Amino acid sequence: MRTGIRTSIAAAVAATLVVGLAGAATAAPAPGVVTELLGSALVRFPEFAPLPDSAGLGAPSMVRGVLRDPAGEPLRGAQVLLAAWPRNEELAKLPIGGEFELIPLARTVTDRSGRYDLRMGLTPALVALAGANGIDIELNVFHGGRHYVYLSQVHPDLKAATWAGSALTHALVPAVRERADGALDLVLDPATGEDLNAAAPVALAAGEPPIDERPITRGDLPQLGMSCTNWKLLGTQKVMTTAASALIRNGATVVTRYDEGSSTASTTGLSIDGGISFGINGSRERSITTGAEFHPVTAARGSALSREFQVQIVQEVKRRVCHGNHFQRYKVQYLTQPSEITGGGDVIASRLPQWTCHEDNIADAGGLKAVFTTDARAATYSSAFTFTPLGRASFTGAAVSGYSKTVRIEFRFQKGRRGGWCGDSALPTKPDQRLQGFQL
Amino acid sequence: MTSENSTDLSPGDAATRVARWRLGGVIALVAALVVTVVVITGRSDDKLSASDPTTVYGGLELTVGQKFTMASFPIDHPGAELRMIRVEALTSPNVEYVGAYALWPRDLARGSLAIAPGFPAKELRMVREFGAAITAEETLRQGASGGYLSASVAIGFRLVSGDVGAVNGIRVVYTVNGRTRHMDFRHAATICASKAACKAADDSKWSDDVLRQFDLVPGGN
Repeated sequence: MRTGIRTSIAAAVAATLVVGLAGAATAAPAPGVVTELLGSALVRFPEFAPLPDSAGLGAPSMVRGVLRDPAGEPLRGAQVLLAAWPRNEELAKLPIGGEFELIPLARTVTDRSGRYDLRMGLTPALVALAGANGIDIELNVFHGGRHYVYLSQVHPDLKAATWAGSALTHALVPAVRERADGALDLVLDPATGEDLNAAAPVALAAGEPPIDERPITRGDLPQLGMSCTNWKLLGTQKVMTTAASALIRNGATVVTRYDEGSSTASTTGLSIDGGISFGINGSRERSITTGAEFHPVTAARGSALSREFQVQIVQEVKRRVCHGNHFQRYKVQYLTQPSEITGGGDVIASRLPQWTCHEDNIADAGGLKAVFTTDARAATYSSAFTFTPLGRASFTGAAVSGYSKTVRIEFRFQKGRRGGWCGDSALPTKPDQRLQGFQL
Repeated sequence: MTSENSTDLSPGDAATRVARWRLGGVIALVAALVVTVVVITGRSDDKLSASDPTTVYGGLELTVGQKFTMASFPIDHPGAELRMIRVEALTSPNVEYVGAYALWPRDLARGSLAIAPGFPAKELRMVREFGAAITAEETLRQGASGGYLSASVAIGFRLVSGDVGAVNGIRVVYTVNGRTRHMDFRHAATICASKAACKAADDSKWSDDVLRQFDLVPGGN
């Protein structure tokens, strides 16, 4: 097993990204507004210091929104740093122990309303980072002595020369709300942010982690001038994740397809207590390259069957070591994120409660053979997967799939018998429905 | 394509105002490549065009000459007065439009009809005059689920010939408190009218193939 391999993508891309920052400067910042990179943000991410504050740039907006605390109060004066990850298809080849560095893109400071706007031009080098599901981005926010980390994705729109967020990923995290104008509002709970002034966590509980975690050695410790931009891959786990569900009754059959190109977004997890617990800190979407088939499932006459259709997602566990706020103190952050969908086809009894149709949500399908919906209508599965990243506490995450031509749930009915279908909260053709098929 | 033989129709009583349309001398069968747009009164600048369907009703078994109804087109404007103005549909050349009725929210309280043989299908408990006002009070009706009930339209078609036919795309033009709007439903239906075709419809990819054959989806034949 090769170790200590560091990708060189970051250096090559960073050199060309300077071009992306060009653009006419906008109005000068208001008096009293701090524009330099300061404090812990500067200590942990000095590479961002040369970047100008996005507030003064005319480049297209890459990520923007409002930061608030759980009480709804705006986070004023927060330092917000935006970085890209190397292309996911390249990172998937990283061996255990391999490392990569974040690619600094933009930085800014939130205004009195908690607003931030991170700007970046669509340079060829940056657009080249876009994989099948866009560019993986990482937001690092510093406010009130805490460091927050949020993961998401953006897509380059070359025709319009703008950036777009990812609808699937934004749908997943309760603290996130994507506005109609594409802005990304975040609620940052101090309980989920790393306390930069706290001492390092106490010794971890004993146990054999499933991942062969190398102990942190002197070589891992951040040296003066080194930053927090380096992530190391500790290991991977294949996790079965619910991608779709269906309920059938009384002789109806369900046929589910998850063809090549189908995608599922799953939440990412961050641990700031040495791996004792993981909290949701964003989400990322991945697409399958080979397709997964599920066997048809038929409910017996007079009975109901509820099934979840699962795909196999490779979850990576990563680690980085960063300076604390005290000399020679360091902190460790662990991260889980989906790497790729590698197959699947598990059909399990659904953990979701069975539900009955309200009569006004039923659509009678007459003497049809089959009915299905193919638009991007997805239901979010809040407990779509559970695994133990480090063999200690478990992490339960959510997932949502983009129903499309490739992700399809089809209800089939027996000849000579009338079929019907319904949605759990509206007619089955309306968005975000869990579906039920039955024979009358 | 708009047929030159289409008459200016206002959707209403199917018995007295029936669209008569035929391809002169060319009755399209399974290998038909021409898409027909049936436009009932007027022309929309924003044309209804072939698009991937969001919902597909696959393998409705009919006989040649038989009518069928598609009726699940929920239109939601609680508290507003609605009037249906006209419908447009993208069909295979061997499927013709025969008429339309309005469905009021109260008619859908016990479920809606997605598709069925016959027009109006016997499953429809009530049909209403197409252009009559649906009052604001009516659009505030709520169903057992607690949500507002939708208005809809029931649209009739006939399979004129052939073993296979299709519909993909419905536009409903209506007014909301006097202002004209339209809503497009990317709903598709595929019809089989022979033993062989209906046997082939058992394959879950059959409807995709039929829509492609009739050029009713982008990148078709």
